[in-house]
Amino acid sequence: MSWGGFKKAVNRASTQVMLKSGHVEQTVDREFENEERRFRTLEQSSEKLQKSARGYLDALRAMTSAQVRIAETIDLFYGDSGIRDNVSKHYLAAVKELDVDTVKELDEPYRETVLDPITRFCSYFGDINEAIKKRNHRLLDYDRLRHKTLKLVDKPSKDPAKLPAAERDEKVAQDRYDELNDQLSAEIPQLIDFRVPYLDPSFEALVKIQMKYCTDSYNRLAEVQQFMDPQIRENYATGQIDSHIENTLMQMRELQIVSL
Amino acid sequence: MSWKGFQKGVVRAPQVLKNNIGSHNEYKDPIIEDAESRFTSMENLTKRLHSESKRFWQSITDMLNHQLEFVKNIEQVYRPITGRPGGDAGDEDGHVEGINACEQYRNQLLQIQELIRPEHEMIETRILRPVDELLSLIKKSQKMFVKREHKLLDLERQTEALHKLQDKTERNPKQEEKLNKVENDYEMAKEQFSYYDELIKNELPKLFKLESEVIEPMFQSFYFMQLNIYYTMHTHMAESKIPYMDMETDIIESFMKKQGTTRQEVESIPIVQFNTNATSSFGAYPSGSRVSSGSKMSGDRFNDRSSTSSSTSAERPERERSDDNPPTYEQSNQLEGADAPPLPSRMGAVKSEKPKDEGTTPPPPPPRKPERHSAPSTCTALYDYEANNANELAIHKGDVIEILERGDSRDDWWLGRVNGKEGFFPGSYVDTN
Repeated sequence: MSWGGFKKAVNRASTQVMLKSGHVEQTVDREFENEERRFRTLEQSSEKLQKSARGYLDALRAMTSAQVRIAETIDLFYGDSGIRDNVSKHYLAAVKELDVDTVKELDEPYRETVLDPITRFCSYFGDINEAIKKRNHRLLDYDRLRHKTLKLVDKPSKDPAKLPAAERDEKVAQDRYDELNDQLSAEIPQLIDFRVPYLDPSFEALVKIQMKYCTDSYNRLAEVQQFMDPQIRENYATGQIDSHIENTLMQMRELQIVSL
Repeated sequence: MSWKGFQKGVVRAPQVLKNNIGSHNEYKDPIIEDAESRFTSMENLTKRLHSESKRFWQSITDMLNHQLEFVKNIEQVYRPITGRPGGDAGDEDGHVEGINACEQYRNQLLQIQELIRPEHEMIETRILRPVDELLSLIKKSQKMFVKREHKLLDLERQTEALHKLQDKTERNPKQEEKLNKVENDYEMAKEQFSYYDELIKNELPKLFKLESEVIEPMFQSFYFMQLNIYYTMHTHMAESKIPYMDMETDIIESFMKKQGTTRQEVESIPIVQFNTNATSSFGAYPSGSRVSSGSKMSGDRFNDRSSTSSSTSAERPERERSDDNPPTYEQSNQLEGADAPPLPSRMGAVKSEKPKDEGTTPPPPPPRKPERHSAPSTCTALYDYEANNANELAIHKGDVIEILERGDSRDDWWLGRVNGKEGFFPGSYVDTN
C-alpha cells in the first residue's frame, strides 16, 4: 500500500470505530441503501442462476458419457459371452453418436444462449461492488472531515486558517462522495430494469435445448429397435425379461461351482 | 483362518515357493487359465456397469434438479425486486408472463420426475441387483478355483515325496512303511484334485452359458428403460406446451431476436464498466471482450485522471500488488491522496504515545518515490528510536534525517531517510530544522 493509501486506511478504520461508538455522525442515504438491497437480491438470484446453468450442462454431459460407458461395457460383455446378434454394436453406435451430437448441436448453442449470457451478466456485479466499496470509502472520508469541521466550530482553533481549510476539505470530500453515490443510485436501478430483457431469452433457450435433447435421444435410440426381435419389446412390457433374468440367475446359483 | 487352514498353509508353503521359482512343472491348463482371465474381465465389467448405471441415473436426477433450480431463480428475476424486507412486492407485478411460464415449466419438470421414478426403481431391481448377484456368483466360483489350486499344490507335494522314495533303490523297513503312507496320501490328493478339477471343467461352460443368457436380457431391459425415460420426457414436453415459449423457432436465432440490443444497452451504463482493467474472464467471449468494449465508457473517465500517477504506481513494490484493490482503484486512490489536502489522523496520535507497540500493525512498505514535499527538508532526532520492524527507521539522538514524507502532525508517523535507509519514524521524536 502506498503512503497515501496507508493513511487513508488508518483514517477510515478510526472513523469506522468512531461511527460505531457514536462519536461521529453518520450520513445515511435511504435511497441508496434501498437500491443496494435490490442490487443484492438481483446479485444473489443471478449467481444462483449461473450455478444451475452450469450444473445443467455438466449433467447433460455426464448423462451422455455414462450412456457410452454402459454401452461399451455391455458390448464387451457380449464379446466375452459370444452373443452374435450385433445389437450391442448398433446400440453402442447410437449412444456414441448421441454423445458427439450433444456436444456438437447442444453444447455450443447452450453456451451461446444460456451459460455465456448469464455469466456475462454476473460479471457486471464485480464492477458495481467495486464502485459500492469506493462509495463507502468516500462516505467515511466525508463523515470524518465533516466531524472535523464541526469540532473546529465548537472549539475554535488558535490558527484562524484552520476552519476554512477544513471546510474546503469537507466540501471536496462531499463532492467526491456525492458524485459516486448519485451515480450508483441512478444507475443500479437501470441495471435492475434490464434484468428481464437480458436474462429472459435464456429461459426459452434452455427449455428448447432440453426438448431437443430428449427428442433427439429418443429418436436415435428408438432406431436400435429395428435390430431386435419385436417379441423382446413385448417381453419387456410383460415382465418376461425380468423372470428370465431371475430364472437364469437361479440356475447359476444351483451350480456346484458356486457352492463354496 | 482356522487352525486347520493354517496348518495346510504351512504345509503348502514350500510347494508354492518351488512353483514360484520355477523348479517344478505346474499342471497348467489352458481352459482354467482362459477362465481366470475371463473372470477378471467379467468382474471389472460388472463393477463398471454398476457404477455407470448409477452415474447415469444421477445425471438424470441432476439434469432435472438443475432445471428446477434454474426456474426458481429466473422466477426471482421476473418478480419485482423491491428492496423492502420480506420481498413485499407492493403494487408491482413483475414480468407476469414469465412468472407463469416458470410455474408451468416447473410443473412439467416435477411431473417428469414423478413419471420416471419407476424407471429408477427398475434400474435398481432389473439391472443393479442382478448385476450384483452375477458378481457375487463370479466371486464364489473363483473360490472354487482357489480350492483347486490348493489341491493342486497338495498333489504336487505328494507326487514329489513319492518320487523321492520310489527313486531310492534300497529302502529300509521304516522307509517301506513311509512309502505306503505316501502312496496313500498321493492317491488321496490325486482324487481330491481331480474332483475339483472335473467340477470346474464340467461346470464352467455351463456358468458361462448362463452368464451370456443373463447379460442379454439385462441389456434389453436397460435399453427399454432408457428409451422409456427419453420417451417420457419427450412426449411430456411436447404435449404440454408452454404458451410463453416459441418452441418452433431456431434456438440461437430466436435468442438473438429476443435479446436484441439489451446487452449493448446494459453495457453502456457507466457503472457496469466501473472496473476498467477488470480481470474479467471474458477475454474469449465471441462477440468481443466486454472489457475492451467497455473501456470507452467510464474507463476514460478514470484513466485520464489517474494517468499522472501511473508512473509511480508502476514502480510500487511487490506487496502492493497483493492488495485487495484492483489496479484502477489503487491508481485513483493514490490520486486522491495527492489531490486531497493533508488529513489529520487520530490514529497517529494514539500510536505515537507508545510507538513500541507498533509491531502488531506494521506500517506499509515505503513508497519508492516521495509523492509530496519533493523539496528535501531535514530534521534532527531528539531521542533514540529503535525500529520494531523492517518498515521502521531506527534513529539516534542527533541524527539528521531527510524527510521524505511528512506526517499530518507531530503525532503522526513520518517517512524519512538516514544513512541510506528509509523508513517510518514517530514525528514526535524529531525537531524540524
